[in-house]
Amino acid sequence: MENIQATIQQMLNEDKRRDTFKFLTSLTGLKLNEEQVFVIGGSQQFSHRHSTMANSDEQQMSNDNNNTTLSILDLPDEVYLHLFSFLRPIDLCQISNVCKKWYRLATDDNVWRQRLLHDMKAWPAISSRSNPLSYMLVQSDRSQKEIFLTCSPTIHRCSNQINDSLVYLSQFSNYFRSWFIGSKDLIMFGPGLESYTSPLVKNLLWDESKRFQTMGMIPGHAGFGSGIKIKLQSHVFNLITLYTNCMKERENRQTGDRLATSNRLVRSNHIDDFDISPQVRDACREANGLVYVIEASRDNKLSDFCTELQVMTREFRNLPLLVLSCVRNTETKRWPAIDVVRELQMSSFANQWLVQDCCVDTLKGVDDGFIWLLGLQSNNNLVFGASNESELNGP
Amino acid sequence: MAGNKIKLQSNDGDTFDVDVEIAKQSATIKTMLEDLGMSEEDDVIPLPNVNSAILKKVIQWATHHKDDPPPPEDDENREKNLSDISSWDQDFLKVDQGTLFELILAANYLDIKGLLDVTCKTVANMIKGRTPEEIRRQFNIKNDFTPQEEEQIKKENEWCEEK
Repeated sequence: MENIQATIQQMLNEDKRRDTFKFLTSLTGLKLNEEQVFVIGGSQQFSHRHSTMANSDEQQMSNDNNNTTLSILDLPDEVYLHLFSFLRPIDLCQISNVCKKWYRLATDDNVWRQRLLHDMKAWPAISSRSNPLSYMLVQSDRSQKEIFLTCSPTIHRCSNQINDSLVYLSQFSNYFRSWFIGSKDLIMFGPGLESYTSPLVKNLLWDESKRFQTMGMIPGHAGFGSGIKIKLQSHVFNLITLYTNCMKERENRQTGDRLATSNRLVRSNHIDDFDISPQVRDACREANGLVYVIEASRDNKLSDFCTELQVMTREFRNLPLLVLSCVRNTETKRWPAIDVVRELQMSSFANQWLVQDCCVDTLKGVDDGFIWLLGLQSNNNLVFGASNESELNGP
Repeated sequence: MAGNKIKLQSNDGDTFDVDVEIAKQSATIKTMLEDLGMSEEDDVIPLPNVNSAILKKVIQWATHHKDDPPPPEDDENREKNLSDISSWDQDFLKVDQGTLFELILAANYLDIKGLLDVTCKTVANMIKGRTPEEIRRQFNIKNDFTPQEEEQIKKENEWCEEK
């Protein structure tokens, strides 16, 4: 009997130590050595001593709570990590100011890395500037906290406000520009225009909420490159839609055939090497931006949408790109924006881009995406430079 | 199996008879029972890190929650669930800070995820939205920064605000 008790006792201690070790290494990815584990065991003995002490005279404990009561500072690091996981990032920033121990724990790289990996799945919009995956790719030496704060759409940094006011200014200039120079041409294409989310164009055309106002229609050439002239806030733009085929042929086609029978992406000599058809190149010559529409329902495999976008961004690498990550309605289970960024391999794009979650039936998010694309101020010159360049390089 | 009891012994020598199924909410005890194949009523499990008062509370909590579904591995959005504490748990956790922290330590040691979550949430609620000074006062924490260090940390965070 005593033997068993001793074994259990030993096991408890060892087990816990092993668990702590496992917990810490799994949670934090820390490389602990035996010595450090020993320290963790030590802190437990410390708390053990504490609870014995506190227990030795419970009466006294409740009366005299200055000396014997357990303090929050007595909690071991592993408990703090768990405790802090319930706090918002903004609280984590605040509490790093409390004391040295809290500072160390609240700025810990592993805490923020975990938070980043968890939270980014919920971000509804990710841009090339706020793409956490690019930091991971280049193994940036910025702290995880820094990366989180830079990328997270839930944190507003004062330093960005300057940029915001610039955007505001440029909105005015865009407005006047549209009167004098003409409106921007945006090229909209992608598998999402030819699937369950295809009503997007119709909903833009007859937007009941009147955020998007139709100003006119653009005929296109030989049934290709038609579109809508739209007013959104202070912006007027031409939204040119590129379909792979006429409606009837699209409906008769098997889903897998999209690229094979595409009239925009023409297969060249090599298998899996696609090139753009001349009429696409022609339609895009004056373009100021690309809008790629995908249906981001969980039923779809995101990597299927990669090739088409790769071909287009390779050709028009100076055009800003908006990816509308669409679902038909709010009930549809969707892939988060960060998975779109990863599966479409967007971290490697030279273009400026934004992935925006949106809903086709309510147009929620669609306006945010277009306002981002139309509000890009520094790009005006670049964009015109780009179309000139592609003209020069064209066949 | 139902009705089987085991004895848990606190570090001050008191023993408590507990249903095996209730005690198994502690992953530490569960592993131990399974590893040692213990089931006899005579066996006593010593818990050297937990005193009687706290063990009593832990058993009370585990008894109330014995039919709970196992907690999910990764909660979708943890910080949003902060207010999601049942009224029974809220009453149960109306204790002084010392007891609350002892419960946290016990839940951590015994590896009872549900109890650890709810106690940590309770403390997180005491931290959330407070200024550092308010937090120090709340938990009686001494500010051990030099004025220069404090200034530096303020700078690191001052431009952060929530959208």
